[in-house]
Amino acid sequence: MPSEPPVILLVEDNADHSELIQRRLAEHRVANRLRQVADGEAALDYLFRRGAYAAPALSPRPHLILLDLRLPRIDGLQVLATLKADGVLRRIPVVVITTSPTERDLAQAYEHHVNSYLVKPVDFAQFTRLMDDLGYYWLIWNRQP
Amino acid sequence: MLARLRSWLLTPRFDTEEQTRAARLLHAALLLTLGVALAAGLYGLRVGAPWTPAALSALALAAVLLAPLSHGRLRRAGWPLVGLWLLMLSLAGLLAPSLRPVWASGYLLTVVLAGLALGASAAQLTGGLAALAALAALGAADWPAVAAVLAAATFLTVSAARGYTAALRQALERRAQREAANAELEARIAARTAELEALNQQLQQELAERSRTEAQLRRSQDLLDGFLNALDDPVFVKDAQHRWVIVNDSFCAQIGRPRAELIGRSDYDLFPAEQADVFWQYDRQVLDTGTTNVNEEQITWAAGTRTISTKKSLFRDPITGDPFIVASIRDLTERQLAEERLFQSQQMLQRVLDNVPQRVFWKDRASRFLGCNRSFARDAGLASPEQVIGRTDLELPWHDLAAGYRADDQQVMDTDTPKLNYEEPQHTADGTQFWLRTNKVPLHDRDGRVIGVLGTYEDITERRQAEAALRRSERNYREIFNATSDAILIHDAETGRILDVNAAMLALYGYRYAEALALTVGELSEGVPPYSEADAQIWRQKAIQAGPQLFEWRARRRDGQLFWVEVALRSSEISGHGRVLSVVRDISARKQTEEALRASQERLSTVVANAPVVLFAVDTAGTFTLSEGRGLAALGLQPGEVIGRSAFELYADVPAIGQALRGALAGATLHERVTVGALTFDTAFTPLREDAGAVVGVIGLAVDVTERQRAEDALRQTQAKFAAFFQLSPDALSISRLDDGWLLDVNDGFTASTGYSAAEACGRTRAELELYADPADWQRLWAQLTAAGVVRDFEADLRRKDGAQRTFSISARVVELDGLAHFFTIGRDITERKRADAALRASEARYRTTLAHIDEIIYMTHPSAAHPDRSEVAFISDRVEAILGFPAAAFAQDQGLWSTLVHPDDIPAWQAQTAALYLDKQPVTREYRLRRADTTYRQIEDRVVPQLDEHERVVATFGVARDITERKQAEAERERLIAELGARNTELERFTYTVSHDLKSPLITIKGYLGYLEQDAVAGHFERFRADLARIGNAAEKMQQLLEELLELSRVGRLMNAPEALPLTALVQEALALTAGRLEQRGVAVTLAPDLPAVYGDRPRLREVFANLLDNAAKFMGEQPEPRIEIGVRSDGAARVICVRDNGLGIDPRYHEKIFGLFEKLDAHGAGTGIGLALVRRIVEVHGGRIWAESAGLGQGTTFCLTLPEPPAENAHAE
Repeated sequence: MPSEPPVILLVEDNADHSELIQRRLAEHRVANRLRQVADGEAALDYLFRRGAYAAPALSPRPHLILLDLRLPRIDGLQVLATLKADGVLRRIPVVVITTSPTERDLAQAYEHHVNSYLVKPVDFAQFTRLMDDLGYYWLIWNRQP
Repeated sequence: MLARLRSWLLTPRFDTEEQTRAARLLHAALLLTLGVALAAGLYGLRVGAPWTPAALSALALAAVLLAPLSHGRLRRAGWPLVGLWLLMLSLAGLLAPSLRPVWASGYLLTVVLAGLALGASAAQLTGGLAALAALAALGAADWPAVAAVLAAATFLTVSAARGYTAALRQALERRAQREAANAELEARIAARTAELEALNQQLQQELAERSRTEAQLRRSQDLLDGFLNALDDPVFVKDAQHRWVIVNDSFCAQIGRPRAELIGRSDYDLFPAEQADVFWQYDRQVLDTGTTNVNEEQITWAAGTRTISTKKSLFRDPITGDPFIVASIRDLTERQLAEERLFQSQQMLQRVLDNVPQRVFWKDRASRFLGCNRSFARDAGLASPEQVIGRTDLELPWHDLAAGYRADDQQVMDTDTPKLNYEEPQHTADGTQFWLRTNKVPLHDRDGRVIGVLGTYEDITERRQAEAALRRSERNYREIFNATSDAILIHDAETGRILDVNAAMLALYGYRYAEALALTVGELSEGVPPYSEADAQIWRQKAIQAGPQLFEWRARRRDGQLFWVEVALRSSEISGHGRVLSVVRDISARKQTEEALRASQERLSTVVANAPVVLFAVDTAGTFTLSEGRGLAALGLQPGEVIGRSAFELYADVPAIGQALRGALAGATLHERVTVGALTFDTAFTPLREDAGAVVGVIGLAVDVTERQRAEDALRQTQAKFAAFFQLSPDALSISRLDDGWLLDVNDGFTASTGYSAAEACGRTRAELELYADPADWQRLWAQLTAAGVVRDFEADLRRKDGAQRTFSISARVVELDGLAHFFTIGRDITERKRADAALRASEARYRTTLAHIDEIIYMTHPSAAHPDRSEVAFISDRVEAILGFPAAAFAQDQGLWSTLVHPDDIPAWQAQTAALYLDKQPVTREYRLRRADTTYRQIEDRVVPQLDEHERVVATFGVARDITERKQAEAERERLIAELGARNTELERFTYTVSHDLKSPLITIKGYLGYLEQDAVAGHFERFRADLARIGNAAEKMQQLLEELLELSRVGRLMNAPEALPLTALVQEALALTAGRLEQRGVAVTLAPDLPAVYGDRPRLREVFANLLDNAAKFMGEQPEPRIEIGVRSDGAARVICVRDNGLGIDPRYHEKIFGLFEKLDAHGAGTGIGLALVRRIVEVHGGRIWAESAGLGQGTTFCLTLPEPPAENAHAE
C-alpha cells in the first residue's frame, strides 16, 4: 500500500461531468488525491510543469490521467499524443473518458497508445459502476512501478 | 481468529452519532466487565472462592453481549438480553444462597448496563426493581422474594415493551414524513422527465434532420460513384498498402472481376509478379514524392493485351491525412492503332507519290517547296524528298530557270487558274537538259483560298526528241515527196489499188488527188498489152518476187494523151501489208529523141557526138565497132578508143552488159540500166540487122543517168525512212485530205491504237468510222485546224473498233501534198497517263481530305535552313484553323506564330520539352495552352516524333496536336467535385461528431445528477439537492441552446434571403444596435472607418456576422481599461478585406483556426456554446467569402478579417 494516496489528474472541460466523476471517486472508499484541469493546454502545462503549474508542489505526478477528448485549446488526442511522445510521461496510464463513441477517435487514441478508452454512459447506474470499477482497477488492482 | 478478535476490540459505528456514542460506552463497560470477571474468576479458582462460577458466568455473559454489540446488532438484542440476564441472576440467587452477594452485584451491573444501553429512564426503573428484588432476596430466600423478583422482571419486561412501542411509533411517523418528501420529489422528477422527453423529442427531430443530411451525403456519394462509374476510363484509388479501396465499373470491367473481388486486394492478386512489381514501383513513386506520374504499360486483362496510359496521383484524406493513390487509366490501343493506320496510309500515299513517274511537288504562296516526291527529289539532286522542304527553285540546280517557274507559280496562284500541259525546259544538277510537260494547279484551303501550288511534270525529252525527228522526217519526206519531179504512186501489192500519189503524179497525169486514188493502173495506162492492167500486174509480181523492176510504160493522161514513162517498181513490206511503190518518170522526151535517132543516124551521130551519151556498136563477136558520144568523157574514154576490143571482155564485170548484148544479138531490143564504175547508164541495146534481117551486130546508146539514179536512190532511201517511221512509229499517224477528211494513209500505230487496219481506214472519214467518241471533239479540232493550220495536244476520247474508248493527245498540221491541202495527225494514247494522273490527283485529294478531317492538327517541321537550331513549320493540316482560328497558311507564312501563341506560363516547359526532343531524339508528348485567334486559350496535347537521318540528326518532326480543353475541363471539374465532396463529407462528419458529442454531454449531466438526486432522496439527504437540480436545469438549458443554434447553423446554407447591395456602414450600425447591451456594459468604443464599401448578400445573415464579431470582441476584452473596436477596410492585392479589430485579450496564433470550429471554446468556463464563430464562418462561406483571425498573441488584440462579394455593377449604380 503506497504511503500516500495516488494522484489522479482529471482533464475535463465540463464542470458538471468533472463533479460527477469526483463525487463518485470520493464516495468510493478508495483514497486518492484528484487534480482537475479544464483544457488541453492546462493539462500539458500541468504535466510538463509549465506556466501556472511550474512549481512541483502544484503539480504532483499523477498515477493516472483521466482524459476527455473534446477539450478547449488543445484537443485531447493531441494532449495524448504529446505526452505519449515524452519519454517519462508516457509511463503514466492514460484513460480516455469521453462522450464520443466514434470509431475514429477510438482508433486514433489507440494509435497514440492510450491505456484504456471509456465512453461515459448516459445511464447513472452504469456511470457509477464504471467509476467504481475504474477506481478499483487502476488504483487497487493495477500495479505500477 | 486475530482478525475477529480485532474486530471485537475495535469500536463499532452506527448510523447515528447518538447510537455510536451509546454503543461505545456499552462497549467500554462490557470490556471492563470482561476484564474484572476474568481477573475475579482466575483469583476465585486459585483460592477456591465460592463466587468463582459467578465471575466466570459474568465473563461468559460479557463475551456473549460483546459479540453482537461489536457487530452493531445490540439494539435488536438489548432488551431480551437484559431480561434474560436478570432472570439468570434471580435463579442463581435462589439456587445458591451463597452467591447472593454476587447476585446483588449482578443486579447492579444490569442497572448500569440498561442505563447505558437503553437510556436513563430504563436504568432508573431497572435500578428500582433490582433494589426491591435484591432486598427481597437478601431478606428472605423464599417464595415471596421469588414472586417479587418475578414481578420486577415482569414489570421490567412490560416497560421495555412500552419503550419499544413508543420507539416504533416514532419510527413510523418518520417514515410517513419521508414518504411524503419522496412523493414530492417524484412529482418534480416526473415534471423534469417530461421536460427532458420534450427535449429528447426535439433531439430526435434534429437527429432525423441529421440523417436527412447524411442521406444527402450518401446521395452525393452515390453521385460520385455514378460519376466515377460513368467514366469510360478505368479509375481506381489505392491506399498506402497498394490495396484498391475505390474502383469504378470501367476498371472492374477491364479487369474482368466484380468490385467485391477487387476491393482490399492488390496487383499481386491479379497480375504476374513482375508486372505487379512495376505497378507498385509507380505507386511508391507517387507515395514517396507526391508527384503525379503517367506511365504507358502493356497489360493483359479482360479485353486482351492493351496499351494503357496510367496516371497516378497522390490524394491525402483531408481528415486523417492518409495518403491514397488516385489513378485513371486510358486505353491507348485504339489511338495507337489509329496512329499506325494513319501512318500506314500516309506511307502508302507517299509510296504512290514516290513511284509515279511524274514528278510531284507542292509549294506555298511564296513558292517555297512544302514537299515533293522521290523522283522530284532525284531531279533536284537531293537525297530525300524531305530535303526539298523550305527551299525554293533558286536553291535547286535549275536556279537559272527559277524566275520563270516562280512567275508561273504566281500566275497560277494569283489567277487561281490551273496551268496545264505546257512544256518547259529544265536541267538537272549534272546539267542534263530535258523537257518537261508541266501542270500547275492552285491548292486551296477549306475556304477556297489559294494557299499554294501543286505541280506535276513528266520528262518528255524523249518524246519531244522523237517528235522533233518525226517532224524533221516528215518535213523531209514532204519535201522529197513533193519536190521530186517523178510521179510516185503507192499501190497495194495484191490488188494494185492506188493508195497514195504525190504531187508530181497528179501533175503528170492531170488528175486531182482524190480522183487519182480512185483510179486503177489500167486507167493510167494505154490499156492494151503490153501496157494493160494485167501487164502491170505481172510487173508488180516481178517486183515483189525478183526485186525492183525498171521498165518503160505507155501511160495515159486524164485528157487521153498517151506518153512514155519509165516506171521503177519496188515492193515493200510495210507493217505487214505488201505495198508496191511506183516511181514514174515521163520519158516522152527521151523517146522522142530515140525516135529522132532512129530517124536519122547521121543526125543522131552528130547529136550523139554532142550529147552526153555513148553511142556504140559491136559486131556479133561483141567487138566494138563504134564508140562515140560525149558521154565517153565521163568514162575517161576517147571516141573510138575501145574499137576492136571485145565488149564481153571489157565489161566482163558488168554482166548486165554481156547479157544485154547477147539478148540484142538474139534479136531483142533491150533497155538496160547498167552501171559502169561510178556511172549509171540507161542503155538501149538494138540489134543491127542487115537488110535480110539477120542480126549482124548491136547498136547501143547509153545515157548517163548517174545523177538521176542518185536522186532516185536518195528518194527511195528517204521514202523508206519515212515509210519506216510512218509505219513503225508507235503513235497513231494518219494522213487525210483536208477538203473531205478522207484518211489517205494510216500507220501500224494507228491500227494498234484504233483497231482499224489501213485498208479499213483509208478512204473513209473519221465520222464514218465513228472514231471520235464525242463528234463535237472532232468538230473543235477541225475548226482549230482549219483556222490555225496546226493543233497541238488536243485531248479527245477515241472509240476503238472494238468499242473501247481511249484518250488520245492529238496534234495535227495542215500540209501541202501534191499541191493539195492535206493534214497529218499524230495521236498518242494517253489513257494510262491520264489514269495515273487522275489516280495521283485522287490520292492527293484523299491525302488532304484525310488530314483535314482528322480531329488533330497534324504538322511537320524541319530545322530552319537559315537557323538550324530553330524549326520551321513545313506542313500543318487545315484542322488548325478549326482549333486555333488561324488558317494553316498563317503558320507557314509566320514561322514564329506557333510559339507566340503558347501561354506565357507554359513557355519554359514547352521550350524545355522542345529542346529535349532535339536532344534526346525521342518522341515527346507535351501539354500546354495555345491562344486562339479570339484570344481564348485552348489546352493542347501535342505529341511530336522526330525523324532522324542516317547521322541521327533530326531532319524533321511530325506532330499531332489535339485540343484537349474540354477533356481537361472535365477532369478539373471532376477533381473539383471530388474535392468538394470530400470537403463536404469531412465537414458533415465533423458536424455529426461534434453534435453527437456536445449533445450527449448535457444528457450525461442530467442523468448523472438525477441519479444522485434519487439516491440522496432515498437516503434523506438534501444538502446538495438544490445545487444538483441547478446543474440539471443548466444542462437542459444548454442542450436547448445547442439545438437552437444548430438549427440556426443548419439554416444558414439553406434559407437565404435574396441578396441585396448593403452599405457596410448601415449593416454595422444594425449589428451595433443588436449588441448595444454588452458593448455598453463593457464600455467599448466602436469606430467605423469613413470609407466602408458596400457588400452584396443576405442582410439578416450578414448583420448576424457583424453582431457576432462585435459581441465576441466585447466578450474577450479582458482587463483592457480602454476597450476599443475598429471596423475598417484594407486591400490585400485584388481582394478587399473587411477588418474588425479589437484591443482585447488576443488569441494565441495556435488557435487561430480552431476557434472557428463548431462548439469550440478556448475557455472551458466561458459563456456560450462556442458556435458563434462557426456560424460566422458558415455565413461568410455561403456568401463565397473567407474569414480568418489575425492576432500577434495574448494581450495584442485580435483582428477578424473577412471578404464579402461586391454588389454587381448595376446595383452599385443604383446605390
